[in-house]
Amino acid sequence: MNETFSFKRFGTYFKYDITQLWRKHSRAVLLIGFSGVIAYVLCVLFSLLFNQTYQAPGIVGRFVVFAVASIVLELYMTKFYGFLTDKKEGSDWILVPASKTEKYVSMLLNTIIIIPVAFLIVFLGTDWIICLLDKTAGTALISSTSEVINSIQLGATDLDELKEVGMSPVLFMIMAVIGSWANYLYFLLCGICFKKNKIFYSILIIFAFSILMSTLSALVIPGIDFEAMLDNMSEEKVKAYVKGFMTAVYIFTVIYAVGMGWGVWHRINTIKH
Amino acid sequence: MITIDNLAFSYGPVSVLENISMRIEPGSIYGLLGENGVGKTTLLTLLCGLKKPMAGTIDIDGRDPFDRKPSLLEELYYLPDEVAPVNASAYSFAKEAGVFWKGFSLEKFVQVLHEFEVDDKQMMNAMSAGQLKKTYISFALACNARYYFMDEPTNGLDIPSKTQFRKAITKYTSEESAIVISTHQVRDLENIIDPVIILDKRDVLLQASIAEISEKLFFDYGTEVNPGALYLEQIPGGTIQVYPNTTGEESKVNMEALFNAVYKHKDVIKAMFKQ
Repeated sequence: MNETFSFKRFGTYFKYDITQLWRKHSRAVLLIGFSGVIAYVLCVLFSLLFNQTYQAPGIVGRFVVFAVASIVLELYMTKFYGFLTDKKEGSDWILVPASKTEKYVSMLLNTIIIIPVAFLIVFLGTDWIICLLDKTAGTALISSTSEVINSIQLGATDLDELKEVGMSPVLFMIMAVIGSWANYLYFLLCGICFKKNKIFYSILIIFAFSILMSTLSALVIPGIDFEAMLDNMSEEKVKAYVKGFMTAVYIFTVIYAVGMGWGVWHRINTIKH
Repeated sequence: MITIDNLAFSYGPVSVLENISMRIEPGSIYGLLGENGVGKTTLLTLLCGLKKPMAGTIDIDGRDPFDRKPSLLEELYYLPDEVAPVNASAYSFAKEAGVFWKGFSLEKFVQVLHEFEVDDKQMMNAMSAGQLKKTYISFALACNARYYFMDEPTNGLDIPSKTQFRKAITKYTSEESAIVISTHQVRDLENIIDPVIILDKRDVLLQASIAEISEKLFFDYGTEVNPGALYLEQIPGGTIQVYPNTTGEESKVNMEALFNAVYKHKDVIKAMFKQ
């Protein structure tokens, strides 16, 4: 018997895992996914009630709702496998006869692909339908996203300049996806580590980290005269600095994602009840 | 076979198990007895790999349970004292989770569940604690596992269900299975457990079959008090006394009296069974 990974057993486990997730969290994920529709209905309803005019939310308003829903989904990542810290449910999970690798891969697939994609399909799909039925709502978010990408790609000179400083749109998109995965994994890790107040503690850690970084910056930055630095610096040097900064951001993003992935793996390997 | 060697475990500074060594052979229903806090549940969770020993080893047919390899996991089933309600019918739960145990039989699950008079279509999160326990017991037995670790399986069961549990455990487990049942309800299970393991924090006080116990100790239910009794308890219409069996006469082992005798005379009993 293959003790580490068997495709047949993984398939069985993945189906089981996704069934359990659907049973426990489908309503919450759908609610987050349908938040655009809810916001649209509320906006129309309030405009009719208080202004006696029909007013659908514009693209900016709908984008704000999308951003808020995305953050809520990230926070909700603490809940999907949060049961692992529960003695009863966590013990059952550990003792399901599948390998740790199969459980880990299934967890990753669900957390960084299945759930976010399901959310995007529901949110952007319903937004597109709203815009199709109600022309006053403007462009659908999905169309405007592709418009933004197209506009970036059309400007060939700008594109070259962006590439020069390490900000090619494709690389930027890849890094945005990796960054999102890293965030999902961070909240997943917090969910399987903290027994109680999972969301509160995960936010607390972010606050603590922000305060630490701000303090460090406050200690370093006052000693640098940026204005004088920039005056004496050639354009090439500025570009080199921006590129260096972007490279550092990319490296940090990758390290952050890999670190969170490793953290989840380590937790799965060492969890005890 | 399960071999436990010099096993130790502690919760922070509080030591629970120390230098525990024993062997568990297939084909028997072991009764794991001990006072509160001696580490019965801890031992069961160590056996199924939910915890890692601080010292010593557990070997199950050449495998370490904490490795949580699928080949071992599909051969064992751990039934905790408190079980988790699931947002599914008993049938769906068993159908979905059972596929991971190679010997699992859905028909057997339904049959055992019906013998416990629980409807397999009932939602598990709407069940009473007793019904939920019976569903998990049925699931455990339907897994046809080689090793069973059951923690207080009769807790929360009504009287007919306790009888049904005894019947089911003897009827639906294979002769190749090793079953370890930790319990305080010795009267519920005294007719099925053999051998008996009595645990102390720092020692296994007794690990012996009912035949060995009956050979070495005599359980006297008469009225005449024996001055050499290791344990004596007044009961309506007489006494229960436990004393060394010097005549070779057979007697029915009373688990509660045995337990109390062992705890009262740890060294005497240990010496007696070491020989």
